[in-house]
Amino acid sequence: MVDGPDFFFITPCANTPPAPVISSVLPSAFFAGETTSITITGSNFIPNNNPNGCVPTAVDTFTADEDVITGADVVSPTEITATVAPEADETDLSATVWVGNLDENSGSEIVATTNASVLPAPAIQWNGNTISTADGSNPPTQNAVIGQTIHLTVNPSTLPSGTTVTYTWAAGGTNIGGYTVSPPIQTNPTQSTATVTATSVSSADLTTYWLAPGAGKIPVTYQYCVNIPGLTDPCSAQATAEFTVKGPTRVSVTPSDEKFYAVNNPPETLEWVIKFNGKATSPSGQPGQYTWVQLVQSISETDTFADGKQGTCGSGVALDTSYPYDTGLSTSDEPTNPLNLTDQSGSEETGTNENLSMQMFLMWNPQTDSSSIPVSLGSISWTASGAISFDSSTDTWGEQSGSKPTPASGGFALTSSEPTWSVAINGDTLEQNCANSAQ
Amino acid sequence: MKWIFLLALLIAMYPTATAQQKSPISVSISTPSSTVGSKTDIRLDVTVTNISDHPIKLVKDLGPDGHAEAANDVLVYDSVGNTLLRIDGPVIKRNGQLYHLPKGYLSRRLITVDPGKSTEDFLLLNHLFDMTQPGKYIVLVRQEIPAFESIPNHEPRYIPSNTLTITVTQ
Repeated sequence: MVDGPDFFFITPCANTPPAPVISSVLPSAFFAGETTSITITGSNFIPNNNPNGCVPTAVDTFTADEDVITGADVVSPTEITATVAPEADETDLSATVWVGNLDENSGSEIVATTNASVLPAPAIQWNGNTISTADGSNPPTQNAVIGQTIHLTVNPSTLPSGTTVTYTWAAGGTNIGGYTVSPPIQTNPTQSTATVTATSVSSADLTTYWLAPGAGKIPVTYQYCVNIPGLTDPCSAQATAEFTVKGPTRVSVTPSDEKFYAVNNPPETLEWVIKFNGKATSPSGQPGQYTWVQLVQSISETDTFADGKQGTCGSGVALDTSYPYDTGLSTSDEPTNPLNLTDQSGSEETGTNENLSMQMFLMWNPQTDSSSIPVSLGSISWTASGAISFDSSTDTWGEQSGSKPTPASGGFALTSSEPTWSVAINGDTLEQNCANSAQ
Repeated sequence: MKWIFLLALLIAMYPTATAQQKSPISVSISTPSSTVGSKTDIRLDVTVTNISDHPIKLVKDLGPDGHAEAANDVLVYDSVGNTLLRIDGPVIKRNGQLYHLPKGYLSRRLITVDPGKSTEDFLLLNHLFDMTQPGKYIVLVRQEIPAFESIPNHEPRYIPSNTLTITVTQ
């Protein structure tokens, strides 16, 4: 006979052993590629080293592909501890926990089983190919370019029913989750916005765009966590992928041919001219498309009229005229202040004073996919001003004063900050506002 | 005879800029019908072809096609050679002389025309001029090459088109 409460249920080995019963397995799911301790709770287990010398309860855990158990200890008639370690590349995500008591009379085993789950090792996939490792080894380097849509997916599409999953991504380098210009092509916008969204790092998939080439390899990591009861570490190992990110090189924009002048023959105008000459070398095999976007940083204008009224108009940060402003590697601007406005009383314009502050961006869209975005390669800020008054004694406009377009000191600045705006403005609207505001 | 003289005069008045600098574009105008009723829209199609060996940037109205006047100086003469006045813009007086100005198009978009390629737009002549009087009219346009494309001249250049005769009937 057996002493002690732990062995109370054990019958002598000469008899048929009782059928084992599994009431729970904790945790009921465990990560592939990792070693996890599990506890099988139940009854009628035959412990190791039982006083009756019975064959202890046999324990196994397996998938369709492999035995995943690496050790077991029948601690008591009600508890078995074991370790499981599915291979990292295990694809069968359902496991069977098996226990058996040997009937030494018949040589057969009386078994009980229950189901458990294998949680897949984290893996990052790009275009259907796994590009990551999770064991610390170097992943294969992936090639990408700035502005390219990097849409990464992961493998744990099938998890135990009811499992709550949280995803954690980290992408190196300067990146964003999206750049949206609405409407996408604007030749005469009255409403226009451009917004940048951050890369979402807590979604099942990752969509990101790099804004700047990397000096070396740029890592992307991913892991997921689950709410499986009994799982000491609820988070998977970390999968790591690596990218080399390229973009145009030898990028420069040189302003030239700045001019400021008045046209004194009807229609009379005050005009500025500036030309932007861009240079860039696209990545090999990726010509992409170069475009320009110009932002008004500020415009202020005051017009005076023959009846003594004065109109003011201006703008804060706004898209200038159209999106994109232009295509190709050279562009120009030719702001014009018309001098033949009339106010709402029909009085003719007699003077104007205008200050412009603008920022011209050179963008590059790799056009690698339908969702690729234009990325800012840099920008150049410039200002201009002008004033002129009508000389009624000569019936002509006098000598203009002001400045031709003047680039900011430092010239073209290589920046990877996307231009954003929430309104658009064009010269016709601006001048109309000036005339209409006269009072 | 008088008609031939007028045509010759017009051509002489607006020589092509090639005399000083070779034009990078050619400009051609046409109309669906050279005879129209006085109450009918008179459409003028303008085709600009890049005849240079490099892309050239031109300007265009921001809106949909139909306002080629945004990039063209439009000239219409009646049968006796009088210049028709614009009716779409303001009228100003300078030194005793009235100027019938065209509507201003300050905001124009840039378009790039590759070598050998053309761009097309159109305008409605009777929206720019009073052409209700029956008779023959001679039309030509001068396509603007923006100042920044005229560097080092820094001033817009205007490249004339062919001339066209349109007859307006009662």
